[in-house]
Amino acid sequence: MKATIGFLAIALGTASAALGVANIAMGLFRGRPDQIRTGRRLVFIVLAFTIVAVGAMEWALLTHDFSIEYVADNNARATPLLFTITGLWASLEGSILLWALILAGYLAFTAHRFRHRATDPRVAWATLVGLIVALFFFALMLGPANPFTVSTTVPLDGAGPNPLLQNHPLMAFHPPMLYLGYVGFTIPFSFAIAALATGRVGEGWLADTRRTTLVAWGFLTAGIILGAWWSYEVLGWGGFWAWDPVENASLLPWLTATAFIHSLMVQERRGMLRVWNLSLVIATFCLTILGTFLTRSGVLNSVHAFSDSAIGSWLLTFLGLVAGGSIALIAWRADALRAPGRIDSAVSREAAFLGNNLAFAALAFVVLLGTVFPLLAEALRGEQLSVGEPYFDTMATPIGLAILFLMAAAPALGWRATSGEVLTRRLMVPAWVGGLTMVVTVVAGTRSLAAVVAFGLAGFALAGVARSVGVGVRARRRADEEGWVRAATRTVMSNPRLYGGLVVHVGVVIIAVALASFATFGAKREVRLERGESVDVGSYTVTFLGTDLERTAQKTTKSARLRLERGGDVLGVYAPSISTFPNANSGIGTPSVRTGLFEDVYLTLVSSPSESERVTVGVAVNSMVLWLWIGGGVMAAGTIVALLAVRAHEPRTRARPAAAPAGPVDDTPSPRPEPAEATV
Amino acid sequence: MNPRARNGSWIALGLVVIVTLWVAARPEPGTPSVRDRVRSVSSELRCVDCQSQSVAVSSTSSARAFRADIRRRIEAGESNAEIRRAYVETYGEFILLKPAGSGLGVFLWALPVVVVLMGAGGVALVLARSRRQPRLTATEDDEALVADAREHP
Amino acid sequence: MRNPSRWIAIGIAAVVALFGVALATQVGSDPSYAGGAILQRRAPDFDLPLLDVDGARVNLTSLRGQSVIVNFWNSWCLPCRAEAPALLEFWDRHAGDGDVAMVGIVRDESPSAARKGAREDGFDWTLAIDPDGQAAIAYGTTGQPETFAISPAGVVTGKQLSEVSVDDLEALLARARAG
Repeated sequence: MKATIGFLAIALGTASAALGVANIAMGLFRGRPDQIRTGRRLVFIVLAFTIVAVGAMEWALLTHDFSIEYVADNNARATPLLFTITGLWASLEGSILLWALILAGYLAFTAHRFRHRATDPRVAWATLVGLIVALFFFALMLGPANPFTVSTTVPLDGAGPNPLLQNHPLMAFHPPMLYLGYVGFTIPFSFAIAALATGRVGEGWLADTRRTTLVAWGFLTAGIILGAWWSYEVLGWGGFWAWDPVENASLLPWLTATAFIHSLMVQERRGMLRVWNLSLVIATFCLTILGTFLTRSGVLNSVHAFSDSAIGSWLLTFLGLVAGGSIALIAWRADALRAPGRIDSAVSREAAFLGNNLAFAALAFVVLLGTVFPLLAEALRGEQLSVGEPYFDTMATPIGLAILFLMAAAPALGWRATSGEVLTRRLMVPAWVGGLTMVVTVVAGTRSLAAVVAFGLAGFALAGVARSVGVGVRARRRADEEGWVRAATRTVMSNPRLYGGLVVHVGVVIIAVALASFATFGAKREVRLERGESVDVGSYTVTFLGTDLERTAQKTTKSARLRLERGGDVLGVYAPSISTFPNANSGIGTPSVRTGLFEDVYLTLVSSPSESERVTVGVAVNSMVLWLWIGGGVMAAGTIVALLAVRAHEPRTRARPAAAPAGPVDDTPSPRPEPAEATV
Repeated sequence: MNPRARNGSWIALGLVVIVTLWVAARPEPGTPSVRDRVRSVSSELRCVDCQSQSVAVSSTSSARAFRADIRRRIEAGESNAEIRRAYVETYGEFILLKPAGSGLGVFLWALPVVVVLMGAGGVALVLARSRRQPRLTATEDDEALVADAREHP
Repeated sequence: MRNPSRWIAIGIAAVVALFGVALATQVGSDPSYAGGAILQRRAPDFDLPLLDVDGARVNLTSLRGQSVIVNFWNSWCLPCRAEAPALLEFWDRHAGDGDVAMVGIVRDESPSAARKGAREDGFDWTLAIDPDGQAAIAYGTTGQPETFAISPAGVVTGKQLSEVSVDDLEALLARARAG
């Protein structure tokens, strides 16, 4: 029955989406606002049916209804409640259902937000495009990825989710966050297409979608960071980012979206880069589909790939239509897209954003090329090649450092042009902070060029942020005689986009420092220990105390008790383990991590202890990993601040009267410092 | 700050940075230890029964076997390049996580450089073209007009 | 077509289309590793302790002159267990041939567990353990089961990187005999 309800809901959802598409299309072409309004209302009906379908799936999971193949494959009676609920995104069909739910949610939210402009052709076109995308995902669920396929024989118990997906509570958050990010880019994409279709290619569509873009970007950022965290806590190889195709697939749209949220400011402010911004938004959307194709069609080897499915050719066809159609639209509108503005000086905010975009585009290209290169090599020459971490590290490090440099310097540049004197006033002290940071790290013994540069640029960037915030707060205090806290809050609230952006930058700096430290410092050993034997790694001593065995219906877990000491102080007993699940033939290792502010001790059980007297354990001392997650949190917080911008349904972000070239905050003490431009 | 002090300060900073980088980039004295060599060779080999990890970080038994084999070969006097070549003979290019810059690998290494150069060229062109155009000074009214026209073409 | 951005758009469309076609050719193809370049090369020698006889060893040189089937396996790998009946039937047919040797090499498992598995499945050909994985690396294995055919002259003439059937094994043997 659940299968019937679920499938019916999907079928009706498909029908509503199709009806919505037909209504809006006819309304647009015949100039019938009533039909457009009908189509718009259908968006909410699509959402309702999607909620019913998801509800049916969750109900089936919770009641262990193994007559549905998806439930039988991804759930078992012994599966704990949390992982029963997360079973919705444990595999392909459920993920598509989640995708459809989130998409319908975004569409309904957008339809609600623009309710007063429902018949505005740009909004109508955007709704049309969004519904077409939704229609595609519904068609997937009716066709090759039907989550409600009923099996003829009902097993007594299900296979249970992939062991890696039922090992850590982060699994409950990472995929939905990622999807909230991925799917959210459908909205700016549909407005971009709407702008092209209506010929209103000015700045209006940017204003309409800026906040949604930022929301999607924030979720994607959080999703990626949570994924890295999950990888670190669960996979047990000691790292958090392996440049695995699935990871790259999530990074690619993030890179183009990051480029976009910088370059859109150039268009808002100066009217330039119209084609480029449209291309970035379209590329971001295409990359989310490409990523789904790469990871869900079984063309690539990957840790988390759900392989084998007819879905591959569907996704590829859809991608082809989207990319081809978008390029054709841009070519058609080429004349209208000619930018009215121009760049006055290479030492200006807009020129810095061009550099930023070049760097992000280059990084996206490198990641894309490296990810698909094995496929291309096989297609072109039948050769099997691997492209992995050493390639990506070699290519991404210089680009990443260039981005870090721009991030440190660009906020000090004003629009149009900045004089050398202003530049010196704003940058000299931060630059010296950066230079001296480099000196200190080298004197302290660091001999990795990339790390020294990263630390130096981090110092430069942080000092720059501190300086601009400090100047702003001081000016406000002097003007209004306020306390520090109130002045700081009001400074931030005077321009949430700017200060939110700076907070995000601080998060990025923290992550950059953590990455450089992780790559440079730390120690790693793999040792065989007799019971009672100890080994020294770094400043820590690890002693093997004994083993434990725990059997539950879900899994059998063997663990080794390891005592961790430093300088004679016992830090605790840790128990890395290996679990065997009934549905997998090799064991899944679970690391045990002592998290420290500056150093983690990462303990793994390398071989399943067949006899309790001897084990092989991996001991790694990892530097500053905690700061990756802290940096991620800071980025999320900054995104939220940036979203606090004064709410208006039609934000009128247009070029303000060109005052004297203003940086983030002008140094001249004035009662109200000229609100400067955002750097989000 | 007067212009001369300003320039002096920038030059001094430049010198400090260059000297620091030069010191940081100098290779560490002495020959690398066997352990360091095992790490550097193994980090560029694909762990054959994992997915995207290198032999250096994986803890599967095959990765451990590879590390032991690399150590044995180093102790037998093979160079890093010889060890890599031996594995490529058995496993093919597949085993290298960083494809060689020959054959198809050329594209992998050269294309990003080409793209960056083209992009940089494009940016330079935009800047140069802007500079050649006569500079117009727009009044506030002009700006408002333009903005309005952009919003409602 | 005076506007240069149209030409750029056409160029980008062409690149995207090529890219799409290349990807499309890969849909439905098996992405897994197809094996290295060991075929038609001298079989890497091995000298390994036997699984069930303490102190005894088997090495490839001593098998020169016979057609050798080398099978990498272990007891926790499900396809290895699945191909056991085929191996048993094949060995039943050819154990008495005199010119055929079969060596099962345990990959990635402790001797005690492998011994138990071999007993359960009734393996009665030469079984060896590869304690430090050197033989597995020399043959370029990426997992198990993997089966190789070696000619009497000591050249690798056939390989299969997946579960074998009796027919597969016969084909491998024919290749080994053909040299």
